[in-house]
Parts: sequence; C-alpha cells; structure tokens
Amino acid sequence: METMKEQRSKNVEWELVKKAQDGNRNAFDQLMLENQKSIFRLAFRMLDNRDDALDTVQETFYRAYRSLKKFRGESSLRLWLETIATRICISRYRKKKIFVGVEELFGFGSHPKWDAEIDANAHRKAITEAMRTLSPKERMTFVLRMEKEYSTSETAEIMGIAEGTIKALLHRANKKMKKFLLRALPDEFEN
Amino acid sequence: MLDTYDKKIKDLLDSTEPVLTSRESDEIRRGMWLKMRRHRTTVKVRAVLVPSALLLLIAFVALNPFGNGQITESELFFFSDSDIWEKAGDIPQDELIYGMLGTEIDSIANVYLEETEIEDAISLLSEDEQEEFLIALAKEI
Repeated sequence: METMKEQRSKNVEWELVKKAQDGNRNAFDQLMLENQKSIFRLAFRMLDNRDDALDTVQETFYRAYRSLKKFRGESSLRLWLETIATRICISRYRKKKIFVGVEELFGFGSHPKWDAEIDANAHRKAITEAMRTLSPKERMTFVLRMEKEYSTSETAEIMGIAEGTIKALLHRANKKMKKFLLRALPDEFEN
Repeated sequence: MLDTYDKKIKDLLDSTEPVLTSRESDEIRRGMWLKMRRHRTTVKVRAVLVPSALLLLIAFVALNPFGNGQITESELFFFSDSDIWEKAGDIPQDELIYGMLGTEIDSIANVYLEETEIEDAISLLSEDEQEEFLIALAKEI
C-alpha cells in the first residue's frame, strides 16, 4: 500500500509534469534532475560505455519532452521514461553487439581497453563481461529485474512483452550470469 | 526472499553501481535543451517555408491547365504569383485539399524552394536560429 509520503511525492511530480506540459522548462529541468541518475544506471548497465549511456539519457529526455503532452500519468513518470530508455538501449545494444562480435572475430576485442575510471576493480570487470554474454532482451530483463528491482509485471510493461516471457528471459540470463561469475569470481560465487 | 545467488548478484551490482557526476548531469540537460532548440528551429523554418509552398501547390493544383493530365515540376512556374492567388480564391476549400492530397507535396515544395527567395523566409528567424538553419542547410548540400 502506498504511504502518505509516496503519495505526496507523486502529487509533486504530477504538478511538475503538468507545468512542463504547459511549456515550463524549469519544471522539466527538475524532472530531468530527479530521474537522470536512474536512467543513467539503466543505460550504463545495458551499454557498458559511459558516453553511450550519457547519450542515451539525453536522447531519452529529448524524446520524452517531445511527447510529454501524451503522458497522462497512468504509470509513474520514471516507468514511462525507462520504457523510452529501454527501447533506445535495446536498439543500440543490438548494433553494439554486432560491432563487438566483428572486433572479436578479428582479434581486436580480445584485450578490450578499459577506461581506468570504469575498470576500478575485478568485480566491475566481471559483471561487465558477464553481462556481455546475454542477448539484448536477456540483458534488459536482468537489469530491470535484478538491478532496478522492477516486478515481473512492471518489467513486462516496460519491455512490451508477456510476463511469462520475462520469467523465461530472466531464468536464462541468471543461468548465463551464474556460469560466467563462477569462473570469474569463484571466491564470491562458489558456495 | 532472496536466495544466495540473488543476494550475491545484488551486492555485486550495488558495489559496482555507475555514478553520474554533476558535470555529466549538467551536460545531459544542456545537451537536451540544445537538441530541442535545433528541433524547434527546423520546425520553425518548415513552418515559415512550407506553408508558402503548400499554398502555391494548392493553387496550382486547382488551376491545373492540363485538365486531368499529370503536372510536371517545370510547369509549376508557368504562372505569375498574382494569377495564382487571384484564381485560387475562387476555388472551394475541399477541392483544394482534395487536389493537394493526390499530389507529391515534397517534390513540388522542393522545386518551389529552389526558385523562391529563401532570404526572406530566413530573415524571419532570430540570429541564432538563422545560424543553425544555415549550418543545417550546408550539411544537407
């Protein structure tokens, strides 16, 4: 059940949305500020590249602003924004995966360059590599369910697919992740 | 309840959470508004240029001197503006729209733009918008 605090914050958000729909830029700026970290996290996990993730966040807000008048508040703004971001991410990840595949085929990708800021530790590298073994939809399901902690039905709504499919995708994703992480981080992942 | 694997994955995800810096956050917002401004300039330029082209098209379709035959692009400029405006005023609106829908608007609009004084339309834009429009135009060319 929704708490008073959650309801108040929803009302404040809706007020900002209405102002932004009427052309108030400060209101939309405020909505961007409140949601960009969450969308960045989603995009970064999906694309594992900082620039691509930043670009995706910007593109998400751009598309959202252009169709803001269509937003009627049936779902939360964050869910709506993350639905937009998800579509952009899946499309970009597909292109990226083809490129990475070509790189690896010719040996360019066997020793990927790691941005010092990103590759701070073995854990980060392991999770990034493990997620690369997933298909675009498996990866998105994994990110939305495990990292963003959306429910199965919310994930299904965001991705526009059936709940049963989400369960199957998550099952496959976890199986692949577990297999990779057992080899990459045996100390942490072996019981 | 989370099983051991779920908990370990959750810990791993939390410990490797990507962080957005305040500089990046500012850049996202700045970049987004810049993109919006570019989009608006494009829309505004179209709004300035295309209606003129469409009006000319409507009038031309209504005045088609070749009856039901096809109108070629070069034939579009057979008439003086004053002829077109004068005669277009006599045509019922639904007939004009009907004629317009059955025609390739883009190609005729392009021909119109090639012949018309773009400077007049551009002068209606602000200095920033003019600059952006000219950059966009240069890229197109």
